[in-house]
Amino acid sequence: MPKKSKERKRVVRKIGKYLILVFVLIGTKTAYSQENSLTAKCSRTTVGLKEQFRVTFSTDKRGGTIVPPGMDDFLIVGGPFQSQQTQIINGSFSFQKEISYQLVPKKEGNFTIGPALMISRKDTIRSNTLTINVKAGTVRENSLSAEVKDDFYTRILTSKKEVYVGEPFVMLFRAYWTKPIRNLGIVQSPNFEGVLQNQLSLEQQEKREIINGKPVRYLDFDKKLLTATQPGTLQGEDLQLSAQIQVPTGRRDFFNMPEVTYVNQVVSGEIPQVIIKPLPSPKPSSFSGAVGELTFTRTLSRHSVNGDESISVKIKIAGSGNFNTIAVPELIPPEGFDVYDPKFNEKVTYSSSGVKGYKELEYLLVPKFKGEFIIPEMRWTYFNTKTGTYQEIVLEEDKVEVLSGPNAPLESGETGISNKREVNDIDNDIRYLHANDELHSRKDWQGLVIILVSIVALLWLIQGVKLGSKPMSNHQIKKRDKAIVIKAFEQQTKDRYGILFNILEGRLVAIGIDKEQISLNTLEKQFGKAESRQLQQLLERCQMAEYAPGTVGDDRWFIEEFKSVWEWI
Amino acid sequence: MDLKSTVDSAQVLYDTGQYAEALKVYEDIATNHPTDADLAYNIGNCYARLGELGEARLYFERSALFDPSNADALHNLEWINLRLSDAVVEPTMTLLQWIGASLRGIAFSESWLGITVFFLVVSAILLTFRRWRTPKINWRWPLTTTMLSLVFAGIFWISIPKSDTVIVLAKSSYGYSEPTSDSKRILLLSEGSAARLRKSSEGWFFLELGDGRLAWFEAAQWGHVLPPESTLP
Repeated sequence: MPKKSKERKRVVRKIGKYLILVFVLIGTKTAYSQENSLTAKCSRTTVGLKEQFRVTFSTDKRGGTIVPPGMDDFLIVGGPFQSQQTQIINGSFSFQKEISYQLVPKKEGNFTIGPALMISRKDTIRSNTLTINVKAGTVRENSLSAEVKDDFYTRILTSKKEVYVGEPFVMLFRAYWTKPIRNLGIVQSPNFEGVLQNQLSLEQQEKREIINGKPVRYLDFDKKLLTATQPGTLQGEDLQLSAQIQVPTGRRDFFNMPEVTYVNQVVSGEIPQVIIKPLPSPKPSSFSGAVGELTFTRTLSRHSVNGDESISVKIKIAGSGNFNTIAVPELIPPEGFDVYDPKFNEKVTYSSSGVKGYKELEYLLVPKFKGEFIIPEMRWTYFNTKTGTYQEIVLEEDKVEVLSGPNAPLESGETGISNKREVNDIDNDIRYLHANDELHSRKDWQGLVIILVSIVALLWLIQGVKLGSKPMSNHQIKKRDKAIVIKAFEQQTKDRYGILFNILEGRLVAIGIDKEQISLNTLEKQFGKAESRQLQQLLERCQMAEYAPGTVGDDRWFIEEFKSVWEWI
Repeated sequence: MDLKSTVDSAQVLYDTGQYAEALKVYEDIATNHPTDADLAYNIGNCYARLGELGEARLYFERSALFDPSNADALHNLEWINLRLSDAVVEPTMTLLQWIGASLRGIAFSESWLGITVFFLVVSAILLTFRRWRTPKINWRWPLTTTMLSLVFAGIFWISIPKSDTVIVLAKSSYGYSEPTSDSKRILLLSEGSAARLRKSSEGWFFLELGDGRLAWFEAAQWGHVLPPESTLP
């Protein structure tokens, strides 16, 4: 018993230890859970315009995702930067996760950054909100920021200071720096108002230049071709760039190398002043909006053709101008030609010198008649930016001679038919009329054919004969019957005597002796005495042999007798 | 006025250059004789004189269809085609149509029909005699005449003019992707161009050009070389 009691105590103690461990773990987890929270904080609540500040969202909850709030009133110039750390100090666990952003205000005023969310499987936690007061002229710069103030800046360069509406010009975006930089990025692209934009290709290459006696590095990072659509001054949001500028700290590291740090810097580039002049008034009626230095031409592939040849007419606008809005005027369809839908050709290049190239319509004309025809004159007006005036280009009439084909149409007022073409080719005329002595009428004789075919088919059906059953001649019948008898005797068929008898009897019937009248007298009248007896004997023996074969002679006798009789019967 | 006088009057009008009046007379006659090759030829001539090359081609084609041996119609057709300088490939005849045209070149369809009827009648007589009057007639004779009649019936059927060719009668005709003018234009054919009719649908023809291109065209701008059944008397 004492041994058993000891054992029991040992087990109870062991269970107790496990229970304590479980309670400790549960308690720790509960305590840990109770500390869950999500906090939003910022580096400063009052900032100057274009001054950077940092917003951080932190939580001590494991798992889940931090969803930042919308920050539309600010430019995100850095981030999101994420970090998390776990600490165990004297058995106590601590965990922290952070997401932070580097922001720059867009405008003055009081702005609220809404709560961030911590979304987990169990629940969703909200952070506190932040209120930021943005004031102009309150930029606090630390010593490092002040130090790099002039070491990084941006400019927008324009190819023209004054343009007419519709006249293309180029904008070049350039960043300058005097100290090494990294993470150069566009925070905000300028948003030009009232212009058409075309992106130009650009080879981004860092270059060096001396400005005010200082070596400066620069990079052209964007290039656009703009075409103003309304008069005024070019406006829009400024360009904003961000970069990290390398700044020496003044300290040295273990290897006695100078230590550096990087300072975030956001700089703005103002949109240059470009005056967009309106086109002079009044505008000519034939002006369709083309602006630039342009040419307008019309070329014919040939001026003299045969009737079965075609002519190609090209109408082309070429030069430098607003090709993105120019439409080539259509050809006025000339008389005497079939005009096919034009083919459109275009080659336009966008470059620093503007928009250059051509637009072309290519028509195919096929002459209908012989004679001389006129391709009508064409007028086209554009605004010449070089002279500052409207310029009308007149394309004179072109004459085309069609060497062969029918003559051109004539008005035939007398016949009362207008717009008809008279065909009169003397050299190679159409043939003369045919005499209509007997006019052909459509006769539906197919019904007659069907009726006749039906009648013939019916007649075939009632013929009652099998094809191939031609009446046999006397000789053929005798030959056939002889073969039947010989075959029956050769094969020793049971009814061979009957067959022989029937064939002889049938033969007698065929020559006119009735079956009932077969007797010696009758046979003698037909064949003679000896032959009749021979035939009579053969018939009688056949009848006897049918009932008692072998008693009246052997088969050889029957065959010999049959062959003998068959010769004369 | 009898038919002969009417035809003569049309010829007089034509000779005096009154092509439109001659055309009217010929077309009146043609309402009762739409399959007459010479009449179609004369109508084609009138249209050619009036410069209506699309209609002229249609009637010359029709004349050549009914009478492929009509050398004048073929000449005038060639004359028209020289003036219709469209680059469209001409539709080709099917083998059966070509054989039919060749047979019509030898003899008119009616002639083939006459031969067929002759042999059928002979077959019927032979079979009747063999059945009721003279059984000794060898069956091979009616069989031969019957077979011949069937062969000529086939020739007659092949020689019946058949054509699914249509001709542009308007100045030009646009080909559309669908049987509606709101669909995409994919072709433009000028007057006198020919194509083969594949199917029709509510005022639209689905046509195949000689080069295999297909498109929908407005039926009103086209004419059948073979007069449609509905227009026949």
